[in-house]
Amino acid sequence: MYAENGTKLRTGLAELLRQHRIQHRIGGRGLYTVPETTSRAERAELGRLILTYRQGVLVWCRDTAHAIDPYVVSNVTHLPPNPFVPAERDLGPLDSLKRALDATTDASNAPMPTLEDLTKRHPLPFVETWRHVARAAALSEHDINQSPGQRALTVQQALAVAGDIAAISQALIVLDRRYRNIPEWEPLRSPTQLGWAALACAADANLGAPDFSVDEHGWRPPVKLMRGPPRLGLLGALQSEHNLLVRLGTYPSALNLRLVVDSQRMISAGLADRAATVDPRLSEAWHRRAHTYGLLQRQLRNVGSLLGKGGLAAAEGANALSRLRAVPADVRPEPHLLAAFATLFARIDERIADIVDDSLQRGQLVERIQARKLDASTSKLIHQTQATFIPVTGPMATRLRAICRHRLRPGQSQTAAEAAELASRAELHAALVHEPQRRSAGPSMHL
Amino acid sequence: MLLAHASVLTEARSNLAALADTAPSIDASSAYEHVLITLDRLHDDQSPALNSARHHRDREALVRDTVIALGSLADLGVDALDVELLLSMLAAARAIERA
Repeated sequence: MYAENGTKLRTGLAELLRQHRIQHRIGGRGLYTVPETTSRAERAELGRLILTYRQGVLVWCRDTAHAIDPYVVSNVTHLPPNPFVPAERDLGPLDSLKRALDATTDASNAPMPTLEDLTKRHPLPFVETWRHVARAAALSEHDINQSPGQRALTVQQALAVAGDIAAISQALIVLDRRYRNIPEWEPLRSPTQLGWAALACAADANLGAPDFSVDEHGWRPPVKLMRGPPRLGLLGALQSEHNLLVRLGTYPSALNLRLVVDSQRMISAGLADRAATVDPRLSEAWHRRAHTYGLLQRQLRNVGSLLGKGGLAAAEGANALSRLRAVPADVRPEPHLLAAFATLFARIDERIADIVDDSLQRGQLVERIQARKLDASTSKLIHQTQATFIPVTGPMATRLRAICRHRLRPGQSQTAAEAAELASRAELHAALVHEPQRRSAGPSMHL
Repeated sequence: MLLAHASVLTEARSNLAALADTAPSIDASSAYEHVLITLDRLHDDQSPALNSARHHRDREALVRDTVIALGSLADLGVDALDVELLLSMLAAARAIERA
């Protein structure tokens, strides 16, 4: 997921930006009290390893800039007043950054890090930090790319990534200047051009409102079915709920969606009654959830579909309900089990909201029409209905979307993980402009 | 689908929806909902929309009209065994409601 790898990339670079006296960190001559522990050849070898790590990060910046390019609309693009006149294709800030990254990456002679470079722990903490950064860049390659099956980014999400690329490029420039005393160090080609392009891109991205929900994009480990015999008691219902979430990976037909919705309504109500003595707040939330699914069920009665499957999802919903009913009502549920149900319910709600939203958008769900009354004024002997479905628009679509937006996806509070991702961005920007504690007068920060 | 069939189906669906909406318990509501879903499944989900104008009647009248509508589906080409299954599900839902 981009959240995970992007955070590691940014926090690693922020840590590197806070490290000064680089020669000392790779065993070179530092203060007069610190002896030299590595030879010049060894330091040159370490420098070459760091160069490969830097090349990995540069390539990530370049490839990601190309991947988000189709989605980015610059905030400084001026459209002509006449809509029939095509807009001039000015080079936007991202185009300049792409060119600069292309030129810098092509001019670099450093190879890409090998698998061994990325996976083998290094004894020096300084190099180890670089390894983590390069590894995050390598892992992040499959988070935001143009491969089939990837969800498309919105303009605001793409601008958020553009801002990240710009900040990371700036960090590489700062570090490049700081490392120039490493033996046989290969400096970046035309860092000024790259720096200005990154600055323009960052300013452009922050003119609008970058959408950091892009952190949710990217590869995730596949969730597997919990096979085998049903677990005992409430665990069995939990197992079926988990399997239901997995089965909802495919889009269900309207009929199967109604069955799933009904099962969720019943399970929520049943669990709410059992949780009343253990966790009243959870019980209240699940009563609300049951009511929400009741509302959704009413709306879905007038909705049909010509596509979709979801028979296995409906079966898992029925399994969960039957297993819940099999548990005696006087069994007191354990709090950790209720927490597991709450987590699964939140994910199922989100998935069902996604299914309804996407199905409405793609025309997969259609609205039933009223049967016409018999018209005795025509001479036709056989009266047939002319059409069965129409696209879901108007009040029906509004009601369904309102249920999804306000009830299935209520204002989700910021989780600790989301806060950490946002903090890592602020931390990287702060590290870019930070100044070390000065021992004496004189500049020590190089930008 | 002929208009006569669509009209009977609309009545059956609307009555079942009204019964589910006004059921005294969530279990009974779900049972009526399952009858409605099974009815739609028998028609390959090609059923017409609900007629919400007919909801304001007492439950006994709703059940009676639903039984009549479901029974008349057999004359309109629906398999008689499926109709019996629907009537059985409706009776089970009624029993859950009374329990």
